[in-house]
Amino acid sequence: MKETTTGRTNADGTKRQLSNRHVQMIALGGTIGTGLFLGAGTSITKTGPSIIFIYAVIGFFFFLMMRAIGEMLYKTPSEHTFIAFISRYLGPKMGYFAGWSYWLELIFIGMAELTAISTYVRFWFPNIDAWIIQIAILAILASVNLIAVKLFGEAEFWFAMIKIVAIIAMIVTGIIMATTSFKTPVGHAGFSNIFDGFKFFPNGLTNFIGALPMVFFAFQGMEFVGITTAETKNPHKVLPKAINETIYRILLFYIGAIIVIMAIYPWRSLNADQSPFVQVFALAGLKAAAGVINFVVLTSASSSLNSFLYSAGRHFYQLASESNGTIMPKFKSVSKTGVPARAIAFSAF
Amino acid sequence: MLAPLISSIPGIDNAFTLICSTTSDLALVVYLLTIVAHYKYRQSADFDPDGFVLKGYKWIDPALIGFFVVIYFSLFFNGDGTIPAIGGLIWCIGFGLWSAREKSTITIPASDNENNQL
Repeated sequence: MKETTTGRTNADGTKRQLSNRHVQMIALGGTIGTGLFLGAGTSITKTGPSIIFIYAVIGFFFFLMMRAIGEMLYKTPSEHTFIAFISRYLGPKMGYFAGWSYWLELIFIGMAELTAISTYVRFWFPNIDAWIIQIAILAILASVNLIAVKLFGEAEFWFAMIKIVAIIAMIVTGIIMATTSFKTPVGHAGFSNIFDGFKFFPNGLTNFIGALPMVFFAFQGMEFVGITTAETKNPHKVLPKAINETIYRILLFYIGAIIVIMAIYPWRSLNADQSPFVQVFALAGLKAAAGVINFVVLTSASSSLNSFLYSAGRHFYQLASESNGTIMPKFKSVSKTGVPARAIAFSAF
Repeated sequence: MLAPLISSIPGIDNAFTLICSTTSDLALVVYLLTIVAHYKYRQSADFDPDGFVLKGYKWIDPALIGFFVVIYFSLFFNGDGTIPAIGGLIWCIGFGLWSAREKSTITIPASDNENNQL
């Protein structure tokens, strides 16, 4: 097993070009998306501080799931998706069912992200038609995906970086405001705001249960770590590291961000319809908050779409590999640069 | 390419949101199957005790399966989540039967044409 700077080529022609930092960022990029930047407000207002508990518990279950997937990928790192294990251990019919269902999900979420992106772009350019923006974005991201897996990794790394900087900036701003009892129009910032009049089910059990799927879907995308393994350098070293470390970061970012939001803004006065990030930065006196967060959300959605495109391409490739029909095997081809080009191109459509 | 098309026709926007939530719910089913596969892997000859082992799979895997079931049920408590959750179940039964009728994964004629139109 020789490692070169250009990486190793797999038997099927795809290349191992992603390093640890790429894989971790892909996972962070897939997971931390619009759900946190826009959706956190809704889940906080639904059930108050006990949302922290929900995030911790669901995050822990996701970690266990990743370990289970990780164990199987460690054993067979050449698999492009974890769905392959369903075919292998539960039979091809189950694999067929899961493969198509999962691919459909990726396509539809990808389309939802694309629609969201055009909304964010129109924040600045309201005169451009949504469909023009969508085609342009799709063309850019599809070419990023088609050129080489390394370029995809690099793009995702920087996209994810922007999100992380935004989250850290908010957490730091929040801590400063909370420790200095910053005066806000809705009271004083401070950690006492979080547990002020604490009840575990402040809006009843139904709302508590209703918040579960919201948090669950916020974590969705973490499994993308498992889709990159076959194109990672030295997977036996990177995979366990990526899985074990990613979870702490995700929990830190999610739970940290939510604690800070509630510390600055008493959760009962938070507006569910507006991004809590915009509300917090606006309180801190940042006039351009809406614009800055719009930029972050835009890159965030682009990076999710980028990951979804990558993932959907690999899944379609997998479906094609398992098929002996007349149409599907045409998508099996792997381009010279080592990406399953036809499968990606088809998924982009 | 379908997304630009959809946003130019406002009427199908709601239907799109519905399908989108339905397919997200399907992820739960796929995760569940993945964990069942893991359980089978641990009991198969493929199991590598020197690998990246998840200790205590005997109770962790069932706990995860229970967790996915609980989350799926919680969809029914989330107002907008009910219809997609039912849709997801219908898909599982319908496409599940379809998959079971497949001779194997070998041929995928009809469903392939459907997906071409996406």
